[in-house]
Amino acid sequence: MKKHTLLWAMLGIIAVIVLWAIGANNKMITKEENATSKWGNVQADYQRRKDLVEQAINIVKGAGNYESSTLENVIRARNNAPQLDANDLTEENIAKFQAAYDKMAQEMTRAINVTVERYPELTATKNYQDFQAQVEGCENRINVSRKAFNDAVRDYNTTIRRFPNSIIAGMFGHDKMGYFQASEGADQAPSTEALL
Amino acid sequence: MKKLFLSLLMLGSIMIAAAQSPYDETGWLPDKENHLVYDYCNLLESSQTAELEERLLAFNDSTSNQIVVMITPAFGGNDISSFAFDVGNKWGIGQGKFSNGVIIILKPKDDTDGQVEIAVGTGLEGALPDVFCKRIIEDKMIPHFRDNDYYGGIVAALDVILPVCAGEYSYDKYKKDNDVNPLALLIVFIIGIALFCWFVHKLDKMSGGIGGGNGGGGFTGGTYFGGHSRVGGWGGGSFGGGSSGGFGGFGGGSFGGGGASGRW
Repeated sequence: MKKHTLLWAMLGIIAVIVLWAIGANNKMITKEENATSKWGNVQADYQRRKDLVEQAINIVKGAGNYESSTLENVIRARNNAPQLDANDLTEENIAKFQAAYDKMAQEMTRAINVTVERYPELTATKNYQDFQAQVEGCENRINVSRKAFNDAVRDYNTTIRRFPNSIIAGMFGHDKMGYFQASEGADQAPSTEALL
Repeated sequence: MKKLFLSLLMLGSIMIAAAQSPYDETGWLPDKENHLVYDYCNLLESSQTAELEERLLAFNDSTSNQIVVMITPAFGGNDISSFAFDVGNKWGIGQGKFSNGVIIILKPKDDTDGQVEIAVGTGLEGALPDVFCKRIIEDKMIPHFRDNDYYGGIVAALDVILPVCAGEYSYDKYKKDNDVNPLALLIVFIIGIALFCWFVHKLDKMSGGIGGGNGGGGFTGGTYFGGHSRVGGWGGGSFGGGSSGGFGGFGGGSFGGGGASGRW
């Protein structure tokens, strides 16, 4: 009789631990998924910036007599702007991703500015003004989605690093995710107005 | 010692006085209140504020779109756009389901440039694209603002924004999406009754074994039923929650960065 009680007690404790582990693991998965979905938004907003580069190229081309090297730089920077899979979200990869897109934005700004220098009357066109409004909206969207992503990652990282969750995280392979760092001059990224 | 204390006290009160204008403080975000027009600069006359409030409140009640107008001297050390999106997301302007909120931030011109931002909730980005907002700012607002007619500029912008938002989300649509299916309610009710009967039956059987506990079983069932019906009654009534025809509160909408800004 006594032996049985002990056995049952131990089984009970094990069951509680297993249930807790399952719960903790599920919580981490939910938070990881949340961060990953936020990454999807970030990616979409950067894609928007890429699409804007298309427009910038058209504006420059539309202005006629442009320097082909400026345009080539823009196109090269655009082609170098990568996609980043949600499974590879390390600090390093995110920094690389961000750098590539910032470079693209800078080249776009330069090309537009060179064109505007040659054709100041361009700034008065509807095309150009619409473009400016879209650049602004695009940058705002990137800021908002980056912030939301960082918040989600922070939430997830805190969860997996806290004891005793950290044991479960180690067992089930929940790795720390990377953040966006503010890159040099990124906060005023491609404001063409600033240079006019 | 006493002198030191006194001077410390004075220093403290000076510091408090200096901090009286919190708008410049890094990270300052205004607290959510239960209305739609916020004039931290006392720029508008009280009748104008009341008129705006009334119009926006009526618009919220009739279409579920939530539009906030805020006049502030500074943005807590942020740029106007980030400030606008932070306020929008923190407060949850717009209905949670649609994210149909708009926030208009205005900083009047003083020694520095005047600034204005129209931030658009994610659900209204289709109806109010960035370029469109830019047009509203440049064509409808800034000309008035240049003449120091702040009220006129705000009204001119609202005249454009309101009909567009109403076309996107009407009250009917809001109502439809929020209505609980009566059939589902009925099914839940029937299941609840069945469970209750089963429970009472079980209890009856158990207490029957002990003997003389029949009355006890009935009592337990009674409290259960009482509890159940009370929850049901409040659950139905909780929607709205507004006080005496006033603003019912923000609905949890989110902002993704749509909109535009301008300065003069």
